[in-house]
Amino acid sequence: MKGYSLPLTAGVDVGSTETKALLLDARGTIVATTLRETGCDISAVAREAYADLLAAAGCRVADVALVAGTGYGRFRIEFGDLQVTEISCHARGAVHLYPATRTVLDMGGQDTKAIRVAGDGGVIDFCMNDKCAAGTGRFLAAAATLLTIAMDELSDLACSGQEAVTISTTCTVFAESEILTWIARGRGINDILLGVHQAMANRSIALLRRVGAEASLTFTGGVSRNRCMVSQISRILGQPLQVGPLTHFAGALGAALFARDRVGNGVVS
Amino acid sequence: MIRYAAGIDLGSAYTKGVILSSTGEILARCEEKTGFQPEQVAGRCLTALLASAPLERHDLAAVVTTGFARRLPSLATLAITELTAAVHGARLLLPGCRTVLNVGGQTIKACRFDDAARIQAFRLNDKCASGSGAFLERTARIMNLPLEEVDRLIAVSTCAAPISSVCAVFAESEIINQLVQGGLPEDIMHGALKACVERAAQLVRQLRVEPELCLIGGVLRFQSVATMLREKLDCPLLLPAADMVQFVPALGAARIGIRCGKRSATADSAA
Repeated sequence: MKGYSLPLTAGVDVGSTETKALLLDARGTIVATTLRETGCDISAVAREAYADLLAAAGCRVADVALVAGTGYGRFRIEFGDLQVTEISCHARGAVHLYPATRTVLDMGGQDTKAIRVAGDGGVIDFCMNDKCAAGTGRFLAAAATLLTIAMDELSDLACSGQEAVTISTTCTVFAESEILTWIARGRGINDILLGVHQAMANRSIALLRRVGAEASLTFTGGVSRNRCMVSQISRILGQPLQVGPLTHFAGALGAALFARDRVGNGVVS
Repeated sequence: MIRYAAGIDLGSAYTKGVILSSTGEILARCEEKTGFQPEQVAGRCLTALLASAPLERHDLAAVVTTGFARRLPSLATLAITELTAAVHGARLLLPGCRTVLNVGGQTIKACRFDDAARIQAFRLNDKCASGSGAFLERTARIMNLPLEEVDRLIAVSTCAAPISSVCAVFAESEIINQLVQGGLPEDIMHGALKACVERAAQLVRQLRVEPELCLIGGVLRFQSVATMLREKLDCPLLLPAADMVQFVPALGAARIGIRCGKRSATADSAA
C-alpha cells in the first residue's frame, strides 16, 4: 500500500513562467510535486503537469477527489474543479509550511506580491506589482539573457560579487542599457549581477513596507530558489526569511489545501 | 565673418551631430549608434562632421554636447540639457512653435516655452520605457522586422492589435501570444505604435499645449507616428523635414555654440 491516506487533492499553479503541481493527502502531507515550463499552450501544460504528478505519486485519477487551479492561467485548466486566486493560495501555502508566517513575499516570473496573513492563512492585506517588470523574475531573466548566463547560475555568480554596481534605473529596458554600460566600463559580471539582485531586493522591500510587513516573513514563488536574493532581502530587512525547497510550490500547495477544505466539508464524497 | 559650431546629441540609442554656421546653414550631419563608449562615439562623430563640412577643429567656435551622455565626452566646450537643445533647435527650424514633443529612443519629453525660449513647463517619461523608441524597436525585433518597414506595415494594417500591458517587457509576451494565435505582424506593429502615440499624447496633455506644437525625435522618422499623433491630439502640428526630425537637439546645441562662442570671442578681444 502507498504511504498516504485517501482521498487526495491536487493544486495546479499555472504561472507566467512555470507551472507547478502538487498532490496532498487527506492528512495534509505532501505526496508529490512537479514542475514544467508554462509556454504558450496553457491547457496542455496543465494537463501534462497533472499527468506527471499522478505518475510521480503512482496513483490513479480516481484517487484524487478534487483539483484546484491557481495562477494567471487557472481558468484555462480544463480539469480544474475550483479556482482560487494566487494571493489566497500563497498565503495559505506559506502558513501551512511555516505556521509562524505573518507576511508572505511572493516573487514570481511576472509579478511580485507582498501579503499580510493571519494565523489561519487568511489574507489580511496585500500589495502587488503587476504592471511593471522591474522587481519581478522577469528582470532577472532579462539580465541573464543579456549576459548569456543560465538562470540557475545567476545566484552563484551574484553571490561571488564583491562590490555591487548601482542599477539606478527602474525600467527593465533601461536597466539593460545600464548593465551594458557597466560592462563597457570593465566591471565584472558578478558585481553587476550583485547590483541587479540588490536593486530587486530594494524594490521588493518597498512593496513589503507598503503592506506593513511583520515578522515572520516567508519568501515564496520561483525567485525564492535564488540564494542571493534571499540573502540580500534578509540583509536589508535585518531579519532571516523562511524559505525552503517547497516555498516555490506554496501557490500549488495553497490550492490543494483549499481543495481539501471542500472535500472535508463533504462537497465531494 | 561667418562662424561655425558643432552640436552633438548623445542620445540613448543614437548619437547625432550637426555643424551649423552663423548664417543658419547646416554644413554637415552625422548619425551613429551610441553604444556604450560615448567618449569614442563623440570623437568619431566630430571627426566625421569636420571631414564632411569640410572644416578644421580650430574653425569651430564651440562644440556643444547634449543628450543623456552629454557630460562624458571631454571634447565639449559646453554641455546643455536635451530640453534646452530641443527648444533652440525647434525655434531655428520652425520659428512659430511654442511646445516641443520629442519622442526618442528611451525617453519621451514634452516641453512648453515662451517667446524668449525660456522653458515654462516640461514632462518626461524617464522611469519607464513604455511607448518609447526602445519599445518599438523591441516589437520589431520580436517579429524579425527591420524598423524601416514600419510605415509600409502600417499602410497595410486594417486594425491595431490591442496591447494592454503598459510595461515594454510584458508587452513583449503579449505580442508573442498574439503571434502564436495568428495575429498579423502589421496589426501588432500598428498596436505598438498606437501605444506609443497614446503615451506621448498623455504627456502633452499633462503639459497643456501652447500652439504651435512641434514634433521631433527619432521615432518621428515614421510618417505614421506623425499621422496618428495628429489625429490623437487634434491640434495643429509642425514637423521639420523628414530627414531632420532626429537632428533638432543637435542643431539647437550648435546654435547655442555659435552664441556662446561669440561671447567668449568678445571677451577675448576685450581682454
